[in-house]
Amino acid sequence: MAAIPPPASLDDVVSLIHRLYQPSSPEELSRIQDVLQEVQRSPSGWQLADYLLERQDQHVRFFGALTFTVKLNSDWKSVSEDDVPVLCAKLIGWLVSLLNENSPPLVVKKLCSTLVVFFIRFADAWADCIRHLICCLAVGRAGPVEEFAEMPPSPRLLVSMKPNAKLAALWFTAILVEEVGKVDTKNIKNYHYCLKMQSNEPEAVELIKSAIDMPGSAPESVDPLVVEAGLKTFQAWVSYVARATIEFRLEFPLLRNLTQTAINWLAHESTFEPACDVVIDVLSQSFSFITADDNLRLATILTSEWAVERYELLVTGDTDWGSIQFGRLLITFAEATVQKLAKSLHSPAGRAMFEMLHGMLKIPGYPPIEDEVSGTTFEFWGSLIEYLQDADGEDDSDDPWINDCQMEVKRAVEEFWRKIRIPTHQELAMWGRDQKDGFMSYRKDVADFVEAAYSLLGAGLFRQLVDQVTGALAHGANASWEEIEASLFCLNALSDSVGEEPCEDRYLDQLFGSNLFSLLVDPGVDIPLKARITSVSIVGSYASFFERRPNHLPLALNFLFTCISTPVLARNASRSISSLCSSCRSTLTTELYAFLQQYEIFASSPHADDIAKERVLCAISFVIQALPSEEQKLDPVSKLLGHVEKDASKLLALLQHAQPDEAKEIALLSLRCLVAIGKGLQAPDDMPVDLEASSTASYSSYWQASEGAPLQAKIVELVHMLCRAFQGDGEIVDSACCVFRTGFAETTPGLFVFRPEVITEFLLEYRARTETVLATASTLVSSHSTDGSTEISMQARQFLDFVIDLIVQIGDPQNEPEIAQSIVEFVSRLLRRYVDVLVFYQPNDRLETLFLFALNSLVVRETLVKKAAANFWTQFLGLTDESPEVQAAVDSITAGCSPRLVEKLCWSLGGGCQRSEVDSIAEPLRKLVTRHVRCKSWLTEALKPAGFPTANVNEKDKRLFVEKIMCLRGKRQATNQVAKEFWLKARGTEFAYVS
Amino acid sequence: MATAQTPYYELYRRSSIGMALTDALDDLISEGRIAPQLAMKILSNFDRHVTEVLAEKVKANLTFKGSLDTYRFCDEVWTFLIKNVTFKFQQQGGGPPAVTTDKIKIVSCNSKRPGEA
Repeated sequence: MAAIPPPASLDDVVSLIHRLYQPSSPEELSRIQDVLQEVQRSPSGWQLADYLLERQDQHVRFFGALTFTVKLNSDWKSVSEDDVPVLCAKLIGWLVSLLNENSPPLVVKKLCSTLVVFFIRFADAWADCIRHLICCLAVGRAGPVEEFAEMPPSPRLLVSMKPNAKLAALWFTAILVEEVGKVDTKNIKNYHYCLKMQSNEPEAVELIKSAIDMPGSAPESVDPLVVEAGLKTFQAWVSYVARATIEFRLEFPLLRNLTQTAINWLAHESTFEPACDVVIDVLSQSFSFITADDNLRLATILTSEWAVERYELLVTGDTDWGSIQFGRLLITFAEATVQKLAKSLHSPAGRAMFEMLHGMLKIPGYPPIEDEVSGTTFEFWGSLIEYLQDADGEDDSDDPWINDCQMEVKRAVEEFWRKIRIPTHQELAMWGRDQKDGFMSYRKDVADFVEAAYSLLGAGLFRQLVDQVTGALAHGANASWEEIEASLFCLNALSDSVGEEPCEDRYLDQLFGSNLFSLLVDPGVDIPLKARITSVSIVGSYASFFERRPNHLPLALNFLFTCISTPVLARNASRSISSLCSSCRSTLTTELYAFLQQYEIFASSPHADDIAKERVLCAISFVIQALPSEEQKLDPVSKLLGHVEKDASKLLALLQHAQPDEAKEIALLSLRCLVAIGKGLQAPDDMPVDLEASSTASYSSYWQASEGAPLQAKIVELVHMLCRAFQGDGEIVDSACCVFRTGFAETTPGLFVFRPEVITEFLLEYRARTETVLATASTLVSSHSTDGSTEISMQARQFLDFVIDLIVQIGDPQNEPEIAQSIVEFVSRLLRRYVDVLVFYQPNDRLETLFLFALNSLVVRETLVKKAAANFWTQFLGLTDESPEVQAAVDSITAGCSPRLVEKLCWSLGGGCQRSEVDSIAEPLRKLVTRHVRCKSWLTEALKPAGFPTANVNEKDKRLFVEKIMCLRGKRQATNQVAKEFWLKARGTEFAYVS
Repeated sequence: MATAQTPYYELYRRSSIGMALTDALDDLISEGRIAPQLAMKILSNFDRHVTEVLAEKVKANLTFKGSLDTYRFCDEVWTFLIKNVTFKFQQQGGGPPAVTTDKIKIVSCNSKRPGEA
């Protein structure tokens, strides 16, 4: 594409501006913009701006105003003191001229914003900017400030001002306060802007007042555009004032006088929407600005006949923007005044407000598809609950309004309960994806609200919901399942909140002892799918109840096992089965063979869901785990593994028929099923620890040297078979490693607790999957580093051989950052128990290679590698309690590596690392300071070369850094702070933009 | 809706995503592609949007149980130290299993800055 030549004449510039506003490719537009920006920034930019504003074309004029802005931002320092008033007069002159020619708002607004930029650049020279602009606009020409000193006060000037001039003054006044608000207020140099806004407040107030003042007799006679601009200017000033009052303790007393006038515009059709915007914004963002009188006025308006009419329109389902805004206004007011509203519940106004708030929950239609309003009320009800909870326990906690407000919350729960009823199948079919998501999101909000309401209403709410379910179930096959589902959904939301109170268990007895399950499994009853899904979920959610009341288990499990055969219910049902079997494992051991039978039926179905299979296998394994002896576990667990083998056997046939993808799916499923069984057989976290037990030899002998051993060998063989069948495919090896990992967390031997040599052999055979193998090896080493675990020095040495081979292969860690991270993490794991394996490793040159690699890992680009390396060195330098021989070897390595280590740390802290890495990199430095007497000399030596780490730090900075670091003696926070300061100094001042 | 002038906490700059953003901005400044002023503006936009998104869009929630060890309320900031904590995640389609930890610290600030409400 051809380059755009720089414009040779002013006409060329105009032509480029025209091209900018015509359809073209983004690349060409961007190039035109670049060329124009260059011209705007050039020394002749000021003249160009004048020339462009002289033209009649609005786009060109807009560009003229923009050129002034660009020059004011980029070249304002070149304007001499004498030229400042001239420039001001010129800009105002252009504004007056544009207004006289009735230029469109786009250009006028742009010039107003240019004037604001002028103010920000030359605030001292134009302190009374609003008054000056009003005077110029009133007389219809620009002039110096002094010339207007004798002019009448602004209110008199504004009375006769043309509407378009008044609009321009309002736009300027609004943009002024918005832009000044964006200036960095933390910088004390900018404080004067705030003072200037304060001194301009009276003029701004007069201007806004002249725009929004309501003539007593005929408010219809005013220009709605001027009123709207006045309201928006008021909004901008309130927003600024609210902030300035908090941050600078400055008073802006006059602006408040306008609030009621702004509120009064709510009741006028033509100004309702802008007035509503202003009031909502002030209520939600600057509530402290509103006085008690304003509140009263607002409350009066919101309960007036006008508001009742608006409200009636809203609750009939009117989706006009005005109605939605009115709803928002009501809610924002109620939320902002929730405390007062709660206490005035019995006053006519308070009652009326509450009735309106309830009415908004009865708008017909499904939320948020047909009813957009009820979803906006959650914040209010949430605030009311919070307030009532805070009030409960205070001195006035016996006041009747608290109880009455609780009843309002209860009523709101009922109203929301009606809103979340599921649509019919036909209605649902009409909805798009977004609508379905919106409805589900609304239901989640209701669930949160019900949970919050429960914390206030307690067991009463729980009982009410249970009664609703059992009441509806009393109609048998004709029960309203939409109602039942909504109540079960709410009860589900409470599952984490309810405790183990006897009364709540009683209500749950009532619920799960009802005909709920019998109806759900009755094929003759037509039940919506969603109701079944919710019923399935609720069983899992209340697993702890079933643990306390096992008499309900048979019906519940029967229902769940029936559901897993239905594909759409299978995953939810299997989750609930898993939850129940985990919680009630000891109670369910007698049902074990029935479960195995149920699983056999389920697994034999061609449509059996894979995830459901895994979950049910895990669930049955929970129950097997609860059997008292290892011998008793052998038979059921053999049966479970038999199912997995059966699945796995299919893949060989598929491979023979050249269906590798299908075969791989089966292999992965088989491995995931093994993982599920392994996890199920893990001892629960809350199992008692037998401190008297002396040995675990009998367990060990059972799975590794007795009747159980063949089964464990079978698992290992199966895993090997699957990996070999796919020639060590990465995904298969990943899944196989997960099988071995299930035993790592166990403290007592079991079926999935394999011998370390077996795991090591497997991992080294599939070493090509380097990262997974190293991660698994790291976990293996960690699990054999705890007290009481067997020592695996030989395997650690084998892995170290493998790791150093890898390092030799990779060379620089930057070549393979992910593998480098795994290597460094693995070596770190050795430091807990196998330091000797590391430090006595031979031959020595290979050991040096490893430590050099760990040093180089500190300066690669990738954060995770650097952090892993920093962690390794922190741990290594912290080794002190080793045996004398080991400690001597550690110290010798430290002495050898430290100078280079310190150099790399200094390079990183001297701006070489990322800002977020400074804390991690400072850690090994802290260790060095506390543990090694030569640290200071290493640091001084490392920082000696001129220009190192950057030219931004001089000799003094470096010396101070070393002294501070040494003096702090490894104190974490202070050292990190010094390191950050040094990093910042080295990088330069432009990086000080964040605290 | 918050206006452009509403101040927001800078709390989330210390989150992983906030630190990653700051690192990325540092890189852009180093390469001379943006000015520090723009970086400041981006960070203040980040403060605003992360606060708003967390408040308005995030529906996922979790519950936790533990023993409250220490709590304090100073300068409108609540701090809770909780021991032996179990987190339960509520997600559609089943979330991750419960997560336990021996100790957590919760620092919570008023969603409205002091003096605003």
